[in-house]
Amino acid sequence: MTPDEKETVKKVRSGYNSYLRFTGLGFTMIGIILVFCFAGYWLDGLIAWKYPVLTIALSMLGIAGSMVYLFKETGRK
Amino acid sequence: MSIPNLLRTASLLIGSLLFGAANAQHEGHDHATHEHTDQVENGVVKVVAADTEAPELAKEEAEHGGKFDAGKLIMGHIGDEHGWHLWGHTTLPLPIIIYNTERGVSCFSSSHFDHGHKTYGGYMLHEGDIVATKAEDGTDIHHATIDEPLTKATWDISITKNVLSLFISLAILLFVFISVAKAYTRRAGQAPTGFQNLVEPIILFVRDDVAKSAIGPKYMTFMPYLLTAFFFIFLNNLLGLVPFFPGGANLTGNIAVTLVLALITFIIVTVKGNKHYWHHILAMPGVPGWVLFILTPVEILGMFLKPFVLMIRLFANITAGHIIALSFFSLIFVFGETNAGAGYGVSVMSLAFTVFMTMLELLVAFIQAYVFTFLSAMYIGSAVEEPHHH
Repeated sequence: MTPDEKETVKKVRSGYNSYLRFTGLGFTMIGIILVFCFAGYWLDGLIAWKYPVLTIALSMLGIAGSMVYLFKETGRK
Repeated sequence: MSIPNLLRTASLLIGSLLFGAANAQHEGHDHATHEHTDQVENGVVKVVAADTEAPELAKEEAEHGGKFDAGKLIMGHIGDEHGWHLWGHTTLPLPIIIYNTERGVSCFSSSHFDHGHKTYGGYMLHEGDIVATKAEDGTDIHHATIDEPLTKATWDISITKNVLSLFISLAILLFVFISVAKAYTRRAGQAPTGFQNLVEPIILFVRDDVAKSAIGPKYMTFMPYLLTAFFFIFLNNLLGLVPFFPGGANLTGNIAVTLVLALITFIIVTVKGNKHYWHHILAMPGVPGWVLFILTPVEILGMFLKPFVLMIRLFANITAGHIIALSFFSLIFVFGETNAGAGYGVSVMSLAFTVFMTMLELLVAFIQAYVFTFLSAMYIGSAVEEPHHH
């Protein structure tokens, strides 16, 4: 690729369609939280404690994870 | 539909789709099946079957009583069918292909089912799905009982409406692109003619605005897939908007179809992913260890969730468009049932809104094909990207 072509690629990348990258972000974040919640629920079923400590802990972790993911994806590339 | 249920259904659907049918047998029946298997253990299967038949019969009769059911109409239109309804009482019969682990393979025309009213070859239609029965051929379905164990052993790989629509769109795509490719070799260096004029700007758009901008220098490797995905989705979105025969099937609004498309993107990303990509997923460089503890699971989840979102987005957008247009039409009949005048009055509004929605859907048909292709290209781009040297 010539430097000229490289410049074109860079220009388009930062152009009007860069926002499309973020269109799936919300669903991915929800997905992350849900997977963590289900994992916690499932593990709680396995250990069978009276108090669903893992469901709560892992759903919190899922929210934190989705936040980390959000920052990572929207951060400067 | 819960996520585990959706995933299970989707995994069943992909198997049947890969073998040429977009119709899975077990989808709608699981609920009923569980209840029935419980009863079989108690040895009272016949009584239960007779019991569930009675309310079914009442429901069917209520439907035949002429009451308009908008939900049923809409779901019938966006779903798949064994047979392609053309107009009035005319239906194009389609081949039924069934594999049953006990009975073997059966092939016959869907016209034997008599629009879903009769049994044939030991099978019948129950709410659009093929179920096994022990009743003789030609029995009215209200007098035939579903044989649950045999139904569980049934795999429906029929050429349904969606599958036929898939074949038609493939024929159109092959015809257009083979003739265009021939024109390019025959008329090298000359101005484009005919179909060339139609597809050249779109191909250039996919190359310059999608592949080059999202993948970068290695874009040429992925152009065949991106162009195929784009034109396949675009053509089928448009065909879905045509209300009569070659169109009208809701192919890109079928989750099995979008699942296969998303799966291909996932496979390309996973297979073509370089060291840089995997390093970023498994251990993001320049991140403290305690953050990796949460970031790595999240990245691994993201790897699967990105194609999952791709699948849901196309499915949901196209299906939603069809539901809205059909809902406007249904309003005419809902109002018409209370008062004929109200029906005529509402029809003016309904028609105007439907025309407006169809215009919007034309735009959505293009946008969704573009978004799917662009996001696929973004994922591929992230997988083949070379490390930056700052």
